[in-house]
Amino acid sequence: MFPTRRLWATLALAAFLAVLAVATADVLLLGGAALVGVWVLVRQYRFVHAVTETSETLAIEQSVAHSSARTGASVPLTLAATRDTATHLELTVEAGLPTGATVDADDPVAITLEPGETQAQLTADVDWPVAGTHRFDEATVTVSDGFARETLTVGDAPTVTVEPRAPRTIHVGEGGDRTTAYGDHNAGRLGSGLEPAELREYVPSDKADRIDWHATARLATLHVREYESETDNRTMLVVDHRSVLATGPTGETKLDYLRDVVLALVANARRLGDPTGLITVGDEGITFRLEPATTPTNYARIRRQLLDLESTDEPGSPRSTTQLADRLTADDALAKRTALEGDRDPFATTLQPFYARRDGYRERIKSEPLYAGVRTAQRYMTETGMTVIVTDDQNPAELRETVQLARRNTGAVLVLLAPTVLYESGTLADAERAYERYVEFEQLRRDLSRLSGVTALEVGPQDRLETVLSAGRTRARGGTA
Amino acid sequence: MTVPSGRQWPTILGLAVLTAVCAVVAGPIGAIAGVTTAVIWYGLGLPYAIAAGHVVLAAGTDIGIAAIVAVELGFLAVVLASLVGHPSSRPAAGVALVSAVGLIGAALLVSTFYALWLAAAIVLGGIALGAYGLHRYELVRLGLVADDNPAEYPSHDD
Repeated sequence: MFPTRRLWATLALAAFLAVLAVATADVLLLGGAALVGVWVLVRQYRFVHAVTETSETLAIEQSVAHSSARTGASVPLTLAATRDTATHLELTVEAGLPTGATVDADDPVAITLEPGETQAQLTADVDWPVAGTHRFDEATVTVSDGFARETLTVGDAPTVTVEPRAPRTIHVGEGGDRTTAYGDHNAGRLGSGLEPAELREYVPSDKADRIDWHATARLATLHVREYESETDNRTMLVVDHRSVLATGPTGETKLDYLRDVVLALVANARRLGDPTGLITVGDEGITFRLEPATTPTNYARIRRQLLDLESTDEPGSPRSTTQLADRLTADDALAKRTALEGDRDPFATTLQPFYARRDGYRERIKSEPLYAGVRTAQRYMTETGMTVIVTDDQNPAELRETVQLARRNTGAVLVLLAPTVLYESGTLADAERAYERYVEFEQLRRDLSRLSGVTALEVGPQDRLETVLSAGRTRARGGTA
Repeated sequence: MTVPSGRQWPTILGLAVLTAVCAVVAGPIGAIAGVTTAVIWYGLGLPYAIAAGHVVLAAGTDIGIAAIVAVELGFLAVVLASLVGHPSSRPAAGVALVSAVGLIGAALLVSTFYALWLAAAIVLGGIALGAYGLHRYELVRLGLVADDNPAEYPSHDD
C-alpha cells in the first residue's frame, strides 16, 4: 500500500495537532490528533477491504490476435478489464509488454476504470522488431481511492513467437519440377575410404591390417572388406550479390533464397569432405575470394561470409533489362561478321560496322563482374571439379558467356538462377504476363542446360511459382487467369 | 451549493449532534466550534473538519477531562456516522472504536500521569503502528508477501 499526497497531508495534520497540543499544553488538541489518526486508520481499512474484494472479482484479459508473427509485423493486442460490482476505487490497467515489443503511441497501452464503471477495453497495435519468443508479463493493475494506492499483477501472460523474415518454401528445380541438385557422388571405384562397399576372400597380396576379423570368424575363412574410395570433388562457388539480387520483399529477396540453397550445398560439401572455395561478386567487381580447402575453418568462413552477404549498391545508371528473345548470341554475331568480310556491295558495307562491335561486345562481357569472378575461379579448378554459379536472369548475355567460360576448365557447372518474375512485387497481378516472362526465363535455363556438363536450376518461392504455373495451365485450357 | 447526497445525511446528523454536545459543554464557543466543523467538513472533508473544530474549542475554552471525553465522543460519532451506507461499514466501525479508545484513552491517561509530550509521542506512534499493521494485513490478504523461507530439505523416512 502506497500513501498518496492526500494521505501524507492528513498524517501531517495529525502530527501538527500533536505538536500544537504540546506547545499549548492542551490535551484537547491531542484528542483531535488522535481522532484524525482514527479517521486515517478507518480509511486505510476500507481501502484494504475494497482492494481485496476487487481483486477477487476483477477479470483482466490480455490477448494477441496472432501468437506468431514476422519481424517488423504489427499484431493487435486487446486489453480488457471487467469487475462484477462498481466500487469507489479507480483502476488503471497497464499491459505487460515484453521488452522486444514496441507501440506507436507515446502513452503505454493502458485502460482506466473510473469509480462506478465496471468494464473497459482497448485494442492497440504492437510492433515486433526483434525475432524470438516474447512472453508478456501479467497486466499491472493500479488501484487507488485518492488516499492510498496499490499495485497488483493480474491476468494472462500470452506468448508471441516472432520469426525473422526469411525465405519460406524454397523451390529448386527445372520448369516447375523439384529436383535434387546435389548429393553423394560415387567414386566408381574401390579403395581405401570410410564407406564399406563389399566383402571378399583374402588373397596373398592383401595387407594383414585390412582383414575383417568379425567376418572371418563368422565365415571361417579369411575375408577382407573393401571401402568406397574417397574423391576430391573440388567445388568453387561464385555468388553474385549485385544490386539486382536485392529484388523482393525484405528477408525474401533473390539473394536470400539463393543464399539458403548455397548454404545447403556448402553443408553437403563439408559432409563429403569436398574442397570448397568461394568468390563473391558485387557491382564493382569481386568482393571476396577464398581458395578451396577442406579445413573446418574454411567451411566456417564460407558460411559466415554467405550469411553476412548483402546486395551491393547500384553504381550510376541502372542496368537495363532486355528481352531474352531479342538477344543476339556471340556465336551468331561472329558468323554474320565473317560472312560479311570481303563483301564490298553497299548493303554489306552498311552492315559491317554493326557486327564489328563483336569485339566491343566481348570486351563488355569480359568486364562484367560475374564473368570476371568465374575467370578468377578458373585458377583454382581442376577437370574433375565443379563450378557453381549463383545469379539471376537479369543479364542473359553475360550469363551465357560466363557459363561457356566455366565449362572450359571444369568438369561440371551448376547454375542456380533466380527468375526475376518470381520476386518482383506486383508482377503476379497480371498472371498471364508473369507466365510469359517465366517462359522466357525457362527458355534461358534450358539453353544453358543443353550445354555439355551444365546443369541449370531455378530457385524461387514455391507459392509464387505455383501461381505462375497455374496461370499457364489456365491459359492452355483456354481460360483466363 | 449542492444538495447533500443520501449518504451524507448520517454525517450531517452526526455534526448536528456534535454541535449540540459542544454547545452544552462549552457554551456559545462550543456551538461555534460545531458549526465550524460542519462548514469545514463540507468544504475540505472530515479530517480537516475534526482539526478545525478542535482548534476552535481549544482556542476559545478551557474544559476539564470529562468535558474533553464528551467532546471526543461527539467527534467520534461523526466519524462513525460517515461510515453509514458504505461497504464494510461494520468492521470499519469496529476499527474506529478500537483505535479511538486506544489512542484517546492513552492520550488522556498518559497526559494525566506523565508528560504531555510523552502522550503525544504515544499517540503518533500508535497511529504509525496501526497504519503499518494494516499495510501488512493488506499484503497478506492480497498474497503479496515474499516467501523468505529457505527450501526445506527432503526428509528421509527411517
